[in-house]
Amino acid sequence: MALSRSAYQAEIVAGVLVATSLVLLALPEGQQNAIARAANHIVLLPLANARNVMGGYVGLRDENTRLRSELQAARLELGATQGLRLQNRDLSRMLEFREDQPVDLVPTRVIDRDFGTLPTTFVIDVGAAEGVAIDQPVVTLEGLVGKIVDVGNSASEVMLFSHPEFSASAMLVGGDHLEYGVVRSTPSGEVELFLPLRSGSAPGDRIVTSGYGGTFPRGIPIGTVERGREDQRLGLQKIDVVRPIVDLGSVGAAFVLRRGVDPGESVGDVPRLFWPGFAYPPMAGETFGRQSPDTLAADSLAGDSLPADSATAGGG
Amino acid sequence: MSLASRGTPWVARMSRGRFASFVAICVIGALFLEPPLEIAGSTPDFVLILAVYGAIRAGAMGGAGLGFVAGLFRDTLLLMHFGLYGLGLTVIGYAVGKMRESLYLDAPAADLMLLAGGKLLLDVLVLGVAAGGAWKAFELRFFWESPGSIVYTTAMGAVLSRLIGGR
Repeated sequence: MALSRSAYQAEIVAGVLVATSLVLLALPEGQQNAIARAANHIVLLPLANARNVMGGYVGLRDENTRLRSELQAARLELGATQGLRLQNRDLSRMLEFREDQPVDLVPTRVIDRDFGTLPTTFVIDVGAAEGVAIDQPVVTLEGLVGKIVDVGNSASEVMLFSHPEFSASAMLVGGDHLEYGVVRSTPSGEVELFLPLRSGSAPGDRIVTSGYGGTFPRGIPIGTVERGREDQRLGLQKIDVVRPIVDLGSVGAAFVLRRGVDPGESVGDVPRLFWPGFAYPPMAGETFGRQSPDTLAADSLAGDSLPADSATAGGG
Repeated sequence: MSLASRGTPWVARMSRGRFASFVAICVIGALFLEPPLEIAGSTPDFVLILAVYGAIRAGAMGGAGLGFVAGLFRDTLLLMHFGLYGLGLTVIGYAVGKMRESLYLDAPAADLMLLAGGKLLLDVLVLGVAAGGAWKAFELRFFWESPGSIVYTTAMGAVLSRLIGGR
């Protein structure tokens, strides 16, 4: 009996609610909208606001994520741009350098190298097709790198000055004197200058190619004297340890000196090969003198690649 | 035959707190989740799920009341034919509650069948009124939208019953 009363109550309630719904449905559209909007504002506006806040938070989070990714991409791009800028600067310097030289320079890139403790060979991307031949010098803006030892059609192998079999006729440029010798590398990669026993040399003295030997033209910078040793080779030679001017580990581009320079050719024919403002020491028998203090100061201000505290031109 | 002897529906065995969570999830779903969950024009009807499961829990009178409130809530969201969902869900809530009181067995698929049937009835009512006598329009919408929505709503009800009801 209680169950049936409850069932009637349910039917009554359901009937009232259905009737209410029908009344709402039967209302004119304007009144329906008014009621709906009022209910919407009262009940749903706070929820909508909460949704907007949540949506805004989610949007901010998404925007933050997007901005972070964009920042990361921009940083990567900036890094790449900086790398390109440095590369562009180096290439511009190389181009300018090449245009200033009286010799025939072939620009090249290093495409392979041995990855030992100290590199001893490079492979460059020019070969016989570009006129490259064995024994041609390879240089950078700073100075000597090595020489060509093997030539393919479009690539060549370079023996670096750090190679144990490398040697070059060299010249030590002291304060007011020249010393001639040979530069070689030890198996450990240390570069040494072999001089006559009683030669005068001091740390800091520059070493350049002498032009003798037929391979390297005169005046290509090799390095500076780091320290001297006098007790090797049975006391017959003076050996100086050389600090190379070229960091072989960072060489990515270089030049091949395609036109050979006659060792007997006057240095006046290759006047500004590496050291602008620096006139190369004369060949043996020519006069040689110290640079004046005024010239020294001017050269220092000009930011030359090497301080011109050594020689002035004694002759072509 | 007493209700207990026929078996108590799972939704009726839920604690009040758990059922309140269920209601909250359905409300949040109706407010925020239906548009993002749309698949090929079909969306789960969280309000219907709330009305059907509420009716299973509360019986005919409670189901009618809950259906009426839930329907007005839906009408308030839609801002058209105000009272239409109230009418439909009141009828469905009452009918489901009545079935629960008289016929309901606590079988796992029974409430899902009620959900599917409720959605079908609601779509017939709502789309019929919305078509305004235009049979072509009703046909187009009913046969293209309703089957997917019925399946989607039933599946969502099963998921919610599994997650919240622990079935």
